[in-house]
Amino acid sequence: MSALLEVTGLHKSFGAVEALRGMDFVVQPGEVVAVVGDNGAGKSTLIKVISGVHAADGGEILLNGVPVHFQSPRDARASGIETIYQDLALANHLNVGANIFLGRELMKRWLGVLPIIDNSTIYRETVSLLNRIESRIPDARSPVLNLSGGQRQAVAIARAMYWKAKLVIMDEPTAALAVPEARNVLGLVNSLRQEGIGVIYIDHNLVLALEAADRVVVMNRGSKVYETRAEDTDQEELVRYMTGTASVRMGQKE
Amino acid sequence: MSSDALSRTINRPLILVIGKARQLGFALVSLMALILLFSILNPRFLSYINWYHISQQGTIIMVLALGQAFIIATAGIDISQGSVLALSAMIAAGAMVSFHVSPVFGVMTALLTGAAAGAANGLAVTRLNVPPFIASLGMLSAALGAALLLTGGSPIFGLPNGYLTISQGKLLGFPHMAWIAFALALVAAFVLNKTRFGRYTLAIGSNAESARRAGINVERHLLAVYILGGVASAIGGILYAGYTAAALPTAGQNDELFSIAAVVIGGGSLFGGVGTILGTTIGALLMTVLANGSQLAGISPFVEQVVLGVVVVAAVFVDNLRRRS
Repeated sequence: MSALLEVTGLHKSFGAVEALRGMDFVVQPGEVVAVVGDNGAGKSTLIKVISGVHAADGGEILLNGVPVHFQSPRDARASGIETIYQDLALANHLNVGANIFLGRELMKRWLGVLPIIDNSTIYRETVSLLNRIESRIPDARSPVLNLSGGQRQAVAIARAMYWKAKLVIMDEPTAALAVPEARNVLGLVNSLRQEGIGVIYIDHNLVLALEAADRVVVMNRGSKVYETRAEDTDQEELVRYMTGTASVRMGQKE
Repeated sequence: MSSDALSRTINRPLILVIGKARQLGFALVSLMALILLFSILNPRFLSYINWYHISQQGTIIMVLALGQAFIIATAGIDISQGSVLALSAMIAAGAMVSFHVSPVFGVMTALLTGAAAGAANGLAVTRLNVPPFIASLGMLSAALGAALLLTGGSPIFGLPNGYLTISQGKLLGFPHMAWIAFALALVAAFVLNKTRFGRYTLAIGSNAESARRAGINVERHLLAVYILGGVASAIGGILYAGYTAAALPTAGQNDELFSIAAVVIGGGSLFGGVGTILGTTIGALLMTVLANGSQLAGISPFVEQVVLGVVVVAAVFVDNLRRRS
């Protein structure tokens, strides 16, 4: 069976800056892969290419063994790749359900004619969705404005889950969160894993990255310099590869 | 989820409804206070004939405020409403008086004029990335200039009788124009609260980037909202010309201030993402009562101008406080 996501020889330059130079990595269904690296290592460019924001200059992206070429984030989404951005990109004034269904509202006909948003079905679906993950959101009708950072994270994840994402990219999900809330994010990552969704997890906090991930990929200067199972490594080792002080280029472990 | 949490889930909306009602309540209480004040200052304020006038004057502000409510909900603004109102009325009147086209055709030309002005605003905002305030400030000047150019600054009289009925005809004791505004308010409330168009309007105002990432064509939607805003100004112009039986190139001046104040007093936010049509209606009524009542109380129209300016700034200030808390 082919991997959920397979990236080979990915290249991307911005003018003279080579952000990605031959990046390879693989995500299996239901697997959480942490991508770590120092600032400028190419993590952001990598996820932007995978999520369709930038087109790659070279290399291949295979989704379930099929090559894909995204022109826009919309294409990536249509193929089942959801990105949960650091800033979460939620419409604050809309309620939880409206955010989860934004752009893909469930509709019904008013008086059998006019198409209107089916708010009651959206609400029911939202409540059952929030029960499936440990969202800690007391009220699905409350505007996102009133939610904490962790609860907002849950909304973004619920959205990915409802729309049957195959791969979820989480960009610094804990960056803006208080410590206890950051730990809740791990629970959310776990619910994605249990649904068989692949996760690319990016976090500056190596403790959380190690705890969240099944596998860790270390990037430096635009390519993978190390890859290991999360349980076989520790912070210290990762930092050595991130900073380039362990310069031996390791073969891929499986 | 425990049954306790579940019951909270069910009961919370009630609290939200009350929260929204408090916002509206503030506007409603202010309106009542003004009505009380003005009826003490001049008992004629409460007469049927005066409320008939209020319904006529209020209609124009109301229609403009409906367009403004959608634009403000996207975190935009349209300060060209008064000029576009005048230009639409002038073009329609010119077509009917000089070229003897039918009132139906006259109305169509006005609507097209408004739509074109709105499209120009919308394109400046979405394609040229000009801030909405500046885009519509440009339109304010351009449309006023165009309206003056048409006749060298003279008003156009002699509108056909059929046309005048739009505003002056009566139904159940109130002018047609008031009923038209009422119907438009119902449509606007439906669109804003029940349709995708309304949902996207609020989503863009709340966070345009999130709307974009959700696959909404933000630029196209904004353009549509500004076009609708222009059409609302044109409807204002159609009603205004019917009401005064003439088209004036300087009609509608300052009306955008009334409509912006109406939207903000009604609970809209200049930061976008919020809008209620009921609130906007109450706000429009409040602004109309303020203008009408101070006239009846013998307050100089110049003072009224000053008060209008203060009210607009104060309404936005209160909005700021509300958003921060």
